[in-house]
Amino acid sequence: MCALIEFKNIIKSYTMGDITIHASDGVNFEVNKGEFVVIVGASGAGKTTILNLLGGMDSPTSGTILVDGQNIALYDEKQLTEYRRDDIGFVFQFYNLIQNLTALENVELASQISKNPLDARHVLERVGLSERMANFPAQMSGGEQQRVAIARAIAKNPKLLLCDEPTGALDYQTGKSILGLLREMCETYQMTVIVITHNSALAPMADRVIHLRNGKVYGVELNENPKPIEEIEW
Amino acid sequence: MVKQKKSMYWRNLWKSIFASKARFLSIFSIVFLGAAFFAGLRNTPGTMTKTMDAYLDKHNYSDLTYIASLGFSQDDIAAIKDIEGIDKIEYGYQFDALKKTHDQLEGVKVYTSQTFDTKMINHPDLIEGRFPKQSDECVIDNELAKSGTKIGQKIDISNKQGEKSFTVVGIINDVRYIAKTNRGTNSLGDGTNSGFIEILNTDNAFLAMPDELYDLRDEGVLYNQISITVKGAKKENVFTQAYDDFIETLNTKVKSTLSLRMSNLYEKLTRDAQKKLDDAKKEYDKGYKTYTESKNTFDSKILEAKIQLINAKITLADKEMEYIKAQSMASSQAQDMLDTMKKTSDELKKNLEDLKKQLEGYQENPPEKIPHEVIDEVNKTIKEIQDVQTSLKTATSSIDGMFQLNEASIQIQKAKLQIQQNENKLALEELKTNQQLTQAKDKLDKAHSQISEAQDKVNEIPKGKLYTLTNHQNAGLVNYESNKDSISSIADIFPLMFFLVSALVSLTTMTRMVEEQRSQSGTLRALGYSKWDVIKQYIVYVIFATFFACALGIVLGTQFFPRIIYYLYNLMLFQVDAKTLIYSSQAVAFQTFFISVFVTMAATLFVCMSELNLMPAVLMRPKAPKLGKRIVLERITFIWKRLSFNQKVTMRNIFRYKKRFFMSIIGIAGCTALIITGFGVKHSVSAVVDKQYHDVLKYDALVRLDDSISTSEAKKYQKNLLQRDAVNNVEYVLNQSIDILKNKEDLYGTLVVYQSMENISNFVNFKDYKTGKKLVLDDDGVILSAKTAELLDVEVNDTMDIELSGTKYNVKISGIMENYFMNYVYMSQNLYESVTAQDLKVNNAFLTMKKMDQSYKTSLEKYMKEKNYGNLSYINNIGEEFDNQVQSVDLVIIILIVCAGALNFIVLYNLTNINIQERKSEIATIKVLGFRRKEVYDYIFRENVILSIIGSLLGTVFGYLLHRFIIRTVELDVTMFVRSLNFTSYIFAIIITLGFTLFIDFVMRRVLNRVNMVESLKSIE
Repeated sequence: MCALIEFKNIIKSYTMGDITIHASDGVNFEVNKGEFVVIVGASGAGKTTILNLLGGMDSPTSGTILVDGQNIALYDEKQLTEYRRDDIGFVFQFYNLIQNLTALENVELASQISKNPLDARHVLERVGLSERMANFPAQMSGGEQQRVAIARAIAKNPKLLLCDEPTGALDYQTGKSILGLLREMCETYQMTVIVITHNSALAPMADRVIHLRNGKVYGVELNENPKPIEEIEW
Repeated sequence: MVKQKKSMYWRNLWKSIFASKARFLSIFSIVFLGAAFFAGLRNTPGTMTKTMDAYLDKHNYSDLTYIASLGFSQDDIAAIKDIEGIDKIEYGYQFDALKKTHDQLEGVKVYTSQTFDTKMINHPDLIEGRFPKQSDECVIDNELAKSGTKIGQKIDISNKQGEKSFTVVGIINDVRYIAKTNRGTNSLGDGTNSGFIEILNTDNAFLAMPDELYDLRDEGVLYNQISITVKGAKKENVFTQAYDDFIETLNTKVKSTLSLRMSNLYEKLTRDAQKKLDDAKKEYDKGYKTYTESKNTFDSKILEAKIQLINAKITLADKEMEYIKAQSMASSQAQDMLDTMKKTSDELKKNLEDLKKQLEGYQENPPEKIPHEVIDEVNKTIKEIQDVQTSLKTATSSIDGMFQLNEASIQIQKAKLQIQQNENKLALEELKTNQQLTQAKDKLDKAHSQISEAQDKVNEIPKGKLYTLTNHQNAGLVNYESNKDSISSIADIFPLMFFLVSALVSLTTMTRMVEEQRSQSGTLRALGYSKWDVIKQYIVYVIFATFFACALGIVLGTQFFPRIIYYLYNLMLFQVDAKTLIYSSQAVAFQTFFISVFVTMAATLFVCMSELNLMPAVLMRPKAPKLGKRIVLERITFIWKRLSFNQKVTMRNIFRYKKRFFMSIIGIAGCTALIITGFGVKHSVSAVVDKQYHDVLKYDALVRLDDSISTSEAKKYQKNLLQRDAVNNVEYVLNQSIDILKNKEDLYGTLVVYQSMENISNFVNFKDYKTGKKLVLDDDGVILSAKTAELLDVEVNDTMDIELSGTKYNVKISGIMENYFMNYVYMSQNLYESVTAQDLKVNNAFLTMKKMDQSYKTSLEKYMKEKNYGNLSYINNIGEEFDNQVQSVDLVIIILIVCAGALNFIVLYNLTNINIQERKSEIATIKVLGFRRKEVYDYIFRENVILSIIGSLLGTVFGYLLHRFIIRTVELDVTMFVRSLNFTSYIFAIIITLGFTLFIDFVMRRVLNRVNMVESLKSIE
């Protein structure tokens, strides 16, 4: 199976005054299609930088990022927008739903712009919100809002589902069910899912775990038999 | 601890100001603009008066000027010189003259002064050259210099009194003529002045007053102008009532002294003349009496002579009878003859009786001075007659003797001859004397007519007129003041509305800021800061944003707006180079602070209070959008269905928050309304000329006759004029100034009386001011101009009082017509004649021309001159003059439009900016979702465009109302501006609003592009 994503010698440096900080200091890893990946690291390990680069929100200082054979590191802003539009589904820590739109409309907002979208209602049913489609975000709980956010990401039918601390704002049980949902979506839609978290306890549920420390990949684990989320405690 | 707490608190405040630089700056600039505009415009009238007052003070403007038609003698001046309150008094001359340069004659006003120095009253501004040092040097009006007269040139000044040549040594501006136009009227030439000229008193007095005046007054030195500056008057502003009152006190004193002297002088002059006249009359009376007496004596003497003559004839007849009797003895036939003679004798006797009676009548007035020769001659005749009688008597005695018959016959014949001779002599005498008497009578009659002429002259001795000139008689100052008043009235409403809009927008911005930062406020509250601490933070923010903006606005606005407006006015209408002195009123400053600072602060406080009454925990969570409510539009399914998804999103965003929606809409609508009003007022003012002189008054030219003529004579003129090629229609009318009586102040108006109704629509358009229907000028009542009706507060069928040549008449109003300029009362001939009980006499003619080209005009003018048909003036020119006045209002309005545009821009910018700031996280999210640039722009800006459209549409309604309100306050008594708003004003305003919106959207793209997607990863604040 060939790699969907390849990070090769990625360096991202920020210059602050006289000091140059390497947020990513030569990152290398691969992710295969359909894998559930957890990128784990403490604060300051360079998670957000990886997320920004992978999400098409930023470009590296040097190195190659191959996504489905395309080097997105060389993309200009326009190409990056198209990349985000078509290839990436994003799940935010704080859901980032549009407050003025109902659950369904929030999903439609994303699916409308996608080349090859999934049916919004269908996806919402899939995430278990068939009853709450007409509700506004403020009328839903955090877990429900995150489900809408996941549905919004999936409805675009992206190559890659990027999740930034998806359980960060949720309580333990809700967090678990959201992770379960993500895993389920990964399998249902054969979608590559990358979860970025500081919580290393989640590692066992992933097909592939990438450890980050000081802007470098510290180690990659492959789980032949990932544990279901229900069995993981933290 | 406390200190630390405070420092962190303040740091947060600074941070919130700097973090939202755009918001802070937009509140700041909106308040600044509003305050500057408000304070600036409101301080403009004050600045204008202050500036002009200082200029007048600097140049010792004469508070009071007196002009006397009989001149002022040294004694006159001495009598008032020491009146308490006079600061300085100067005397000299002013007179009309014609200035001749290169064979071109122009009317000028000439002023003379004792000397030229900076202390003199009405000290002129020397633009170039120097002041006169010799009596044949002069300085000239800058306007004359502009039309080509140069320094060093010689100009001839002439009038009825004489002629003199002057050398131009300088060019000046004079405080008495602050306006560029209007140099007043002249009694010579074409009646207008092109400028003024100033010379020295010395050796130039002869030009001012005729020699007869010196003779009449028996004075060697006379002046005709006294200028006075009043002690302490400089402290008062010339344009205030206080100044008028101040001046009036002294004016009353001086005027009464001068008037008394004037009437004493008149009395003295008339007394002397009358005495001389009375003497002459006495002489005449004496002569007349002598004449009558002589005539009587003569007449009675002649009568006496005639009686004697008849007596003689009687005696002769008797003698003849006797003779015939005697003869009859010889001849019987003689009897018949005797009878005839008897009859003659009887008749003569009867005649004698009559004459005697007459003589008795004369003798009752015994003759005194009889012309001697005449009397002698008559007496001689009488004596001769008596001689004849005597000889006849002798004859009688001899008749007795038959023998002497023949001799008697001879004697009788002789006597007959003598009587005849004497009769002839008498007749000759009578004729001669009568001739002499008639001559005497003629002389007397002539003397009589000379005497009555002299009496007329005595009656004509001029009473002597005293004219007082104050600032209210100075055309330039009056014009200046009316310009100031029109700015005042514009400054009343417009800046207030402007300011209210800006206050509203800054208030909206603050409200939204408080709401946006509720979680931060919640955090502070949760940390243990008191509610007041949190509120204080916003109050301080408001103070920073509004107080300083307001203060800066007042300072800069008060410096800028009055300056620019004054500058523009000066450029167009006035020529004086007065240094602008800014007037700034504390009341205006207070109003400005109140509206911007206090109102915004109160509103912010209110919002804070209602927000912060919630528990901190609630505050920390984002405000919940209204639950499940759908906007109204969604219920209108046939529209909603048709909208694209993105459009639906936009609609949701717009209508979800009603308060935000309305505040934005009202802010935009307000700005649009201000622009509409600006353009509207501009149109309303400038359209007046066109409407008045094309739509209402339809004639092309006006003919003024020197004297009124009867209607029948007018028919003749009309017929002749109609035969001219150029003329299409002619109508002779009475066009007379009248007073229209009103409760307090009378209005000055024009009465136009039409003779015929046939062609009336060619000359004037009687259109009802409300319905636009045609009105008919009937014999029942008058048609009145709309503005006049409004000022009098009268309706159709009411009555009104007019005063015509001093007589008051009450007339019914049968129609109120559309009219824009001046107060007009139209009447039919029949109504005029029945109301005034006089036959109509006309003094004006209205002409419509076939073509207005120059050759037609010239030939018609020539014809009118030849025929003495009066002076022709064209409506176009009259319109232009008014146009010039209107232009000044135009200037101010352009400033209004520019400012309204600027406000509109800042408001739109502010609203756009708030929208972006509030939704940064949302923008970041959709960017992450993969929205393309254009889609992001649309997502945010579509909302702005829709708000602008709704706002500007609503603004048309506001604008309509505001315009209607403002246009009435700007109007002057004699003008009714076009009150309707023209379509283009709406269009302009909408285009400007939408144009600004699109422009701002274009500029703000940059801001959207800069929104970092990483924002989306942060927690929602």
